[in-house]
Amino acid sequence: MAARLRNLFLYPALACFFGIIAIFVVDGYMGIYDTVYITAGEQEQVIEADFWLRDYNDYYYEPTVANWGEKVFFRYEVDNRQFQSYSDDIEVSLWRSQQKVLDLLSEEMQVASFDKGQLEWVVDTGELDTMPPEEFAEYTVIIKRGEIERKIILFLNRSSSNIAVPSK
Amino acid sequence: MRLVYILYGFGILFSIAGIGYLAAEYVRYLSEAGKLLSLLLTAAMFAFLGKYFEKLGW
Repeated sequence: MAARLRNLFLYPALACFFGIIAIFVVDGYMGIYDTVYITAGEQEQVIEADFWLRDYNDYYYEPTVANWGEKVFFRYEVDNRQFQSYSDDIEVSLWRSQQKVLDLLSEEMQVASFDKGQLEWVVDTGELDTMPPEEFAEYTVIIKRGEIERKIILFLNRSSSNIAVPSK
Repeated sequence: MRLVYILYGFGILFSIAGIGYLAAEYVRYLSEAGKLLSLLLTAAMFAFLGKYFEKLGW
């Protein structure tokens, strides 16, 4: 009788434990996750979705370095892990010193349930205004998805554009 | 016998530390509702475990 009474408390405790595990697995998987792929030169950088979830990061500080005059290719992937389809307006713009330099993209994205959507755009640094006097010029690419903003710092390198390419 | 208890102690400590680390690492993926529900379930789990050990005579 005493053992049965004890188990009356043990089984709910075990049920709670497995409930917590189930919440972590299911709720942790579900949601909207966005990944940014940046290709500058021959290097591709990936900003995983969990970067933005870590310690309330607003900015991506890892240097995305491109030479002045080069094109920087961006791919923005939205993973919809929900039972309903997802749609939102995506606006991408380039900023410098708190001023908008140019609009890069403005589109509505629609992603079906448990599917992925992608958008691509290019920052052509050759089309920007005159190169700032600094060795490295910092620009910010702001990706606005509904209420959410992702900010990526882009470094433009002036000096390497002067490096002579050896002739064959 | 004392060594066995010390080893049990280490085992329990490492288990709690491991589960605590995993929970801290993965809690950021949860929605607000998921966090709240997990908190409630954790409180209930410790309450039931407490009663269980109380009935065991601890």
